[in-house]
Amino acid sequence: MYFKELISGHPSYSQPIDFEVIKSNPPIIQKTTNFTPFDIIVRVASTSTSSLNINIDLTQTETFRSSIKKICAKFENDIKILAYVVKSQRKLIEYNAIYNAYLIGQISEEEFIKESENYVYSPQSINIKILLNKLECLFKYTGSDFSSSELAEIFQCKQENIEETLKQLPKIKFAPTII
Amino acid sequence: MVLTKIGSSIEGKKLAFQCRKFYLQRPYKEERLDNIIVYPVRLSIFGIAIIDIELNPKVFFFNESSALNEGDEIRGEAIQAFSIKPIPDKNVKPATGKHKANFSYSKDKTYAVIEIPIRHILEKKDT
Repeated sequence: MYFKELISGHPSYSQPIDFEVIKSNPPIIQKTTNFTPFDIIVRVASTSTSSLNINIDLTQTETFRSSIKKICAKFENDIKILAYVVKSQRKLIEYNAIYNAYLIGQISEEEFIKESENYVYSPQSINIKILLNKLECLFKYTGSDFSSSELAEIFQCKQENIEETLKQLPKIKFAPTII
Repeated sequence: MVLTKIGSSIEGKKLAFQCRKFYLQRPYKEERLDNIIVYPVRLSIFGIAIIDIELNPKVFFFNESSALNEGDEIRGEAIQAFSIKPIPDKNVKPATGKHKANFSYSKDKTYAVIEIPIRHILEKKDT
């Protein structure tokens, strides 16, 4: 079946069909007279097994592309946040290992203090909107409860920031620390 | 004096900690203490922190509303604490007939605050 035949007469396609599809691999669409350029995606679907009912949907390629881009950007952002959390947790595990070495007397207190300097961070003030996005992502994917101090450590920010942000998430249980 | 309200805090030269779950957290620079490095811990599942040795002089160093007397204690479902020196030891000892708990002592100036009050207090508040 030719492309031309498929889309001609479809309600969402208003332009007069004035081109041909040349059977080749890949197929070539060749215009026969002047017409307005277009860029569309055609979806052809058949849902019936007994008769040949074909549904044709047309959409602008740009509309489709921008939707995909939006989804990709959202996932990319989520992956960045989760990767950051994983890195942070890994650092904590490493720090715990050093602490254990200190507890069992493998290293002295001086050595522990020196080693732990590699894991020291300075809590920063983070914009609530940015933090809200990070917390929503973390809760959505992990489904776990975190205390405000844990979250402050993970995102290396001030605990007050976390508490302010958690207030924007009414469904999440949290306990603010008053200091 | 035993404190159980959220946000109640104690400060001392040496604190004794007791809990079922002891979480170590990464050290950070505390802005309110001129960016010195502090070593935080989190005491979870019925945490208790007691002042073993008072500050000398007995003046708060972090929170003016902190209890400062020897024997003052806070109890909570979760307690957040930090010390200016690493917490040197953890000993597991029997705490009740059925449970063992974690006992540890801080070495130098230490601050502890109730992050989550004990469960029965939370439940009482809801009803």
